Amino acid sequence: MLLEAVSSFFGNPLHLTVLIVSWTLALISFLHWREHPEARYLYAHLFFLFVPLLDFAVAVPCQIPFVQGLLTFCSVVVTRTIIFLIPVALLLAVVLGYHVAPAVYRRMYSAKQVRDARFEKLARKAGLSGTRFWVLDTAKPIAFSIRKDVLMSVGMFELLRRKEQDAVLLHELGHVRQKSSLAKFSLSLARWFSPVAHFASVDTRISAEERAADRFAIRMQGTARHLKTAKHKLSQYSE
Amino acid sequence: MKNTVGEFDSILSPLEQDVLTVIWPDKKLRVRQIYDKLKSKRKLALSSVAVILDRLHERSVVGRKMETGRGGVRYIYYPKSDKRNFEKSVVEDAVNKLIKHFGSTAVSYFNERFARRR
Repeated sequence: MLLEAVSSFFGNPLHLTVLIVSWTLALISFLHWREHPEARYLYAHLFFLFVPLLDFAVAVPCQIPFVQGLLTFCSVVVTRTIIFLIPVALLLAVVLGYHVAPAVYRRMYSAKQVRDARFEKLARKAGLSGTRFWVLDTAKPIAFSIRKDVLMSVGMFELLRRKEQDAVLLHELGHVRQKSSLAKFSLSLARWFSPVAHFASVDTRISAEERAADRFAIRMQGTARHLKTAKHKLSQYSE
Repeated sequence: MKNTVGEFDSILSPLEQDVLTVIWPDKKLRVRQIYDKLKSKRKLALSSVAVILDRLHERSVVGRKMETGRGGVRYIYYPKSDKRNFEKSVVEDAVNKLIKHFGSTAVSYFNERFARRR
């Protein structure tokens, strides 16, 4: 029944047009606002997921048995939206955010996988195996991790001294370690709700995870000095 | 050829001019090398030099390539053209902009001006 609803939705030229238009707008937003990442992801996300899913939720009929069983007031638009939007958004977000987003990010910055002896030594020291190191082709100082990948920009290498680079790499390896635990995995499920939220995690926000990663880097290096000076240099970097 | 680009005040910022002054004769330099050459003349941060070089790269005034060394991965910056060609491209850009914005008015002015010179 649900499959029928999906196929009839895609068979309708009106909904198909909405889908094509909103995905085109998502692509335009993504390409246009290169200088404003927050606007870029907000609008790209809105057009890519929210608009088509809202259209789907409103269009889908109430006769689907599981929907009727779940809530009797299916005809209320908000309820229908919640019923259809959340599971489909979650599924798409998991697939896109977890599998597609890292590849998009690597391509965006022309990332190159590098076998770096220093990184491998640090990863071993952090008790991690199977980690990969990528260099991002940008002069902006950026470093982040996705799953078992640690990515650091040329700009970061240029701005920091060796020990400071190590501190940043250990901070990111700290994130990789956090994610490997089941508890963190479950917590990060909330982030998967949106693929854009996955991108947004690149921002160096002061959060519990960030502090834990800092503590890990400090413990591994035996001093907070290098992480502190690295952060100071990064805070001084201006556009 | 002079090694100063002071005459580009309206096109380049003072730091951009200083960076180009260093990079034109030396051809291929890393951010830190440029910073080392400039810091004796003026007070500045390494990050400022990195930002300026990135900006000049975005404007295609300088090119760069990645190089792996002892301190990790670095960019090697090099000028895309010498001073004379850079001047030419600035003039070309300015003329193109004038023609784009003022169309036939700009073109007829150029004709008048060239006729006067002849």
